[in-house]
Amino acid sequence: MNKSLQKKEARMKKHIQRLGFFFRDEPLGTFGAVLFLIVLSMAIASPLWTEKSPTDVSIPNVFKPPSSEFWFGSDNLGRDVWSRFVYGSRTSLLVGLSSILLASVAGGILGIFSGLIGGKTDLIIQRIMDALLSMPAIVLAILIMAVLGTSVLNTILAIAVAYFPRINRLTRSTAISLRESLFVESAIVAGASKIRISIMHVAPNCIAPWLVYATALLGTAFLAEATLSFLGLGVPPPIPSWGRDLSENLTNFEFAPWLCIFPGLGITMAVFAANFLGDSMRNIFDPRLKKA
Amino acid sequence: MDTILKIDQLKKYFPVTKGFFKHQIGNVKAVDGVSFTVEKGKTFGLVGESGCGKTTLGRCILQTIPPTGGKIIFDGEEIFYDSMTRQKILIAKMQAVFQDPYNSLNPRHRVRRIIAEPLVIQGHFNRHEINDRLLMLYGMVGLPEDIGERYPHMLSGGQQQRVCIARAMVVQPDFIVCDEPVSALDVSIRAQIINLLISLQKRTEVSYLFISHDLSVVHHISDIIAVMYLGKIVEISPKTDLYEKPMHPYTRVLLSAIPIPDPILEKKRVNVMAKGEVPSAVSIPSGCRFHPRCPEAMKKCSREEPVFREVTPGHWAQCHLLN
Amino acid sequence: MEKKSMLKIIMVLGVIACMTAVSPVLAADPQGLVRGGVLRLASASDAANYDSHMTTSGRTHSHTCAVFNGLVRTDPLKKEVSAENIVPDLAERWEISSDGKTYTFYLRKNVKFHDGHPFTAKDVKYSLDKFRDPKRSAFAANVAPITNIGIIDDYTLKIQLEYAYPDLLIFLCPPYASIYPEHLKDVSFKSTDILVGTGPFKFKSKVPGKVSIYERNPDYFIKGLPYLDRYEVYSLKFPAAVDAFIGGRLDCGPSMRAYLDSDRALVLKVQKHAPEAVIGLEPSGASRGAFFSFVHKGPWNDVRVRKAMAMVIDYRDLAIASYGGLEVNPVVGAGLFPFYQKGAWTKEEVDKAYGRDQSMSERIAVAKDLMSQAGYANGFALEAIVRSDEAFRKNVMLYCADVWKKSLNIDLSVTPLERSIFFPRRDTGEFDVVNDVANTMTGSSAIEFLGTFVSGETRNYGKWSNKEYDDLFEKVAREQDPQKRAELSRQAQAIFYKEIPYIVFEGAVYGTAWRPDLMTGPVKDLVMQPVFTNYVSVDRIWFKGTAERWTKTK
Ligand SMILES: Nc1ncnc2c1ncn2[C@@H]1O[C@H](COP(=O)(O)OP(=O)(O)OP(=O)(O)O)[C@@H](O)[C@H]1O
Ligand code: SF4
Ligand SMILES: [Mg+2]
Repeated sequence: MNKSLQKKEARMKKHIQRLGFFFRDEPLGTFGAVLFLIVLSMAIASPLWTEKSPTDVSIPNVFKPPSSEFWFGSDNLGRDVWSRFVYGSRTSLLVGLSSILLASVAGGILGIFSGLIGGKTDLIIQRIMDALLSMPAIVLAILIMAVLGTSVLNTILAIAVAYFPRINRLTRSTAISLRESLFVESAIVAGASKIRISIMHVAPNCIAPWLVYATALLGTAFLAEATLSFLGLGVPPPIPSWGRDLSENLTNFEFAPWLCIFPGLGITMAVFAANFLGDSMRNIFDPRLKKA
Repeated sequence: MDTILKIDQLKKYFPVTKGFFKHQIGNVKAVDGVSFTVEKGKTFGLVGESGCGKTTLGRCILQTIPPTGGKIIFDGEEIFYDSMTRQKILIAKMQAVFQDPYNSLNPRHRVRRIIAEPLVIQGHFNRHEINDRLLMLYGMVGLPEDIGERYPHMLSGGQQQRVCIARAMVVQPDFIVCDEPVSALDVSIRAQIINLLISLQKRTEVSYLFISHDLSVVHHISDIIAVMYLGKIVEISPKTDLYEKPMHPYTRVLLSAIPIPDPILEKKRVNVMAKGEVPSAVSIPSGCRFHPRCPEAMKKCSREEPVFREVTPGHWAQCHLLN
Repeated sequence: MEKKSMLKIIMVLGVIACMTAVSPVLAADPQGLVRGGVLRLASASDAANYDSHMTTSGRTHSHTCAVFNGLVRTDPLKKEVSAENIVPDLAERWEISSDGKTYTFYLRKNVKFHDGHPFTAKDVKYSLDKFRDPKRSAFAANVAPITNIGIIDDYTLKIQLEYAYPDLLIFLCPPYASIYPEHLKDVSFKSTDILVGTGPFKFKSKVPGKVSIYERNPDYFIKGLPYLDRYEVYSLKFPAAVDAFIGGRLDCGPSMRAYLDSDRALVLKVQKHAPEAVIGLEPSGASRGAFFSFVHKGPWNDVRVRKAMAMVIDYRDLAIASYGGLEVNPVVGAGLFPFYQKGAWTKEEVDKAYGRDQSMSERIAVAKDLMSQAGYANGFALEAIVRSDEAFRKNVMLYCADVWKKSLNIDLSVTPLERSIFFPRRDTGEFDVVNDVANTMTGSSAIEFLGTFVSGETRNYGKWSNKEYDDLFEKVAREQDPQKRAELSRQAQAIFYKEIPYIVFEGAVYGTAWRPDLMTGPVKDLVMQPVFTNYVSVDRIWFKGTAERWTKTK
């Protein structure tokens, strides 16, 4: 009993120590993580950050500059920009995270499958991926949105489909190089079946590059959501979205700059957080930088 | 003496493909009709330049890739390729050690798990048996007892190769394919690993197919040595015979490339050089496949392929000069 | 008796007008009219087609107005559009029979299409037959009384009516009732590159997505016109177009309409950065509002619900919500007819119909009561569709959503749609609520205002149908006596305001800005006409200054 407790404590200590190393070695990553946590907490606990509703119209209060009552000012319908800023993080995170999750899980599994099976199956899958990759991701997402129509789910789907071939390519090429690797050959010699090889040997070794890439793509997904909303194709109104708020207020920039500055700030925050995190993730997972 | 492995006219061709739909335009004849036998408890050395098909031959024997033709008889039974898992007898009796120890070990697994994997897959053993076997093996291959909890990247190159050897030994095999097991290692630890292999052989009667591109490395460990050139064996001989009376011009070329420690002898030696580069395995030269590079080539050599024959007892070679 | 004398007056006016148009007013140039120059304006995108009969879009008309003519036109120098202000265009003069049922048009001779083909009565018959065919025209209802168009000879044409219809001439004006060449009938409406008309400008070149260039037609049938050498239409969306105008790269607001009227910020921007520019914000006669669909079944099919929804809106707040302020459209609370129109319900009457004469709290109480009578005391959910490219349409609906939620617990979701998706849905009633214009052609006739809600009319987007209303409309169209006609149309409005198939939000305003030296000949500032705006007068536009000056001062 006592022993297992001690073990637990030791493990805790180890984790805390590791966290300390992370802070020391990855200052930018730490900054990204903090930013990300802020955005995350705004998204999860929005009512704690603001009491006002982001969709509450108040015509007497249109175009109020930032003040103690309206911290970030108010917009053309008298809605509180601070509240829209806070709730906008929800849209960004929900769409960004779920689309990348969807893209990476589906793309990852298909990539490993296609890379390991090889042959005709791989050929066909990869030609389809080529077709999808021939378009810039954002153009593909725009196309899908135009066909599906605007809704939160469709936005997630569109971004996921746009990024899915990229993740597929990555895991496929990793899987292929792993398939040819000596430790997989050793496993074959040891008698491992194809399934065991994919689950025990190939998949775990795909995780690091996959995770690094997915985190890096997260920033682009935030941006894609903003772009789609900016183009009027993202989540429908009145759901607050940084991208939409930014684009709709571009004409007001001269007279009410706060309407553009704060949504822009939100997008920048989320994208920076994801990119910094992605960078340090690569530093940590890249075996070449690993200390013996 | 008993034979553990006999291969007969083994062939492995890789298709060469081109274009979007990958249609075949030719073959790489990596192994092109190879026959030999390996005796129990002995070491069969296989030498040849890079790209001559040694690794491919090893992989065919291991049955990790399907041979294109020929027979492999292992422990008295013919073995076949199975695309899902290797045949049971092979898993239990035939193991391998590869050239690059770091890449032979899954970086995400601890040493204990790596070495035990063949046993876990076979599934006849409980945890205690496995643990006991591991502890015994650590001693046998000269690894510290606490190594099991470490990850491969925490080990030195020599230790990594010892782990590979331990993994091969864990199932108590009869035969191990060692594909250049020391080439990637520091010169200072090569001898240690070779000595380890020799001592293991003494203790367990295991047989080796020892592949190397360097005649000086096989010298110490092998009983019989075969020289391979462009997918074919050109000379097979007991060790001492080969070094003293090399018959094939290619063997002489390889031998002359070994530096002799004595500077006087080194000076006296007539250096035989092969001309040019190794031809591609896609277009193999006609007649004797060595003729474009052979220092002693004759007219006949480009037209007729010489027969592989036993010139003196136990010493086989394939060259028109020997007729 | 009175009727006859009026017709005579019209005839005389017609003759005088045609004489002024043909006579070389411009040859002598005492007022210092300047010939030359390039007029650069913008349209939000390329024209989808060049069929002016079929479309209500300024994106088409900014091209067709330069290339085509009508049989007659509204006086380019006058602001008001009315039957009295009609002047000749391709028809030199016309006669109206004493019973008002036969119109005889005498066409100009020696008019040539841009491809050299002579213009004759055949072209007019071909074009007007298309214009009155509901399958091939969006405005067929306006010329429904036409029973036959007969060719007398190459230059004489007779239009037969079922009944006397004094508004006919208004509806035959461009930019809608353009005359297309009969010999190109297979290509005119299919191709977006072949533009052959009789108009003041000839198609020269086009860079898709960028610009269409038209050059002066030297053989234009009015000698000396047009004043401009070139007419260029750039494809530019509105915030960009306003910037281009401020930067001196455009001479007047885009397609001369629907630009500054979309956002207060744009008006403020022009005022600040181009203070010398003239800003024109003109009521168009049409109204904007929310159509309820009677194709989709829902609580709003109950008139009490519609009434409750109309009552709780604060129309001043709504105007502010639309554009961000009252700068664009200061008129609060419009009706189906513009209030100045003869026979229109007055502002007080409309206010009363919508409950606007009561205080807001009273209105909410009444509305709540209506809702519970209808069985929707707890509200319901519905969806509004709007076009995605004009923010004010969405803003208005977001405002309504907020008000309806707070006072009646109605959940309105607002879906902005791409034009290509929006229009087919709007036109077939595939919506709960749609925000759009009760479209009119000229914004000047009771027939147009009432016609929007007649059964079977395309512009009746919600497919509302009321027998009594339809009958009254028929009577209004046939009634000759202005007094009686006004009375009948008031009765029809009574049904409209009682049934509320459409909540009137505001009188639509069309707005643009232009450089101060832009003139409509002879010596006048640019004349803006409601709805028609300047389409009809491009041949008379000229620059008091030069293009260089405007560009340089910027
Ligand atoms: N999977 C494969 N597909 C196609 N060609 C292959 C494949 N594996 C090997 N080859 C070709 O077969 C020939 C023999 O290769 P192999 O690896 O057996 O040579 P090797 O003697 O082991 O060389 P080294 O000393 O460099 O290890 C080479 O030409 C190589 O390019
Ligand atoms: S056969 Fe001829 S070419 Fe071949 S090795 Fe012998 S001498 Fe050389
Ligand atoms: Mg090799």
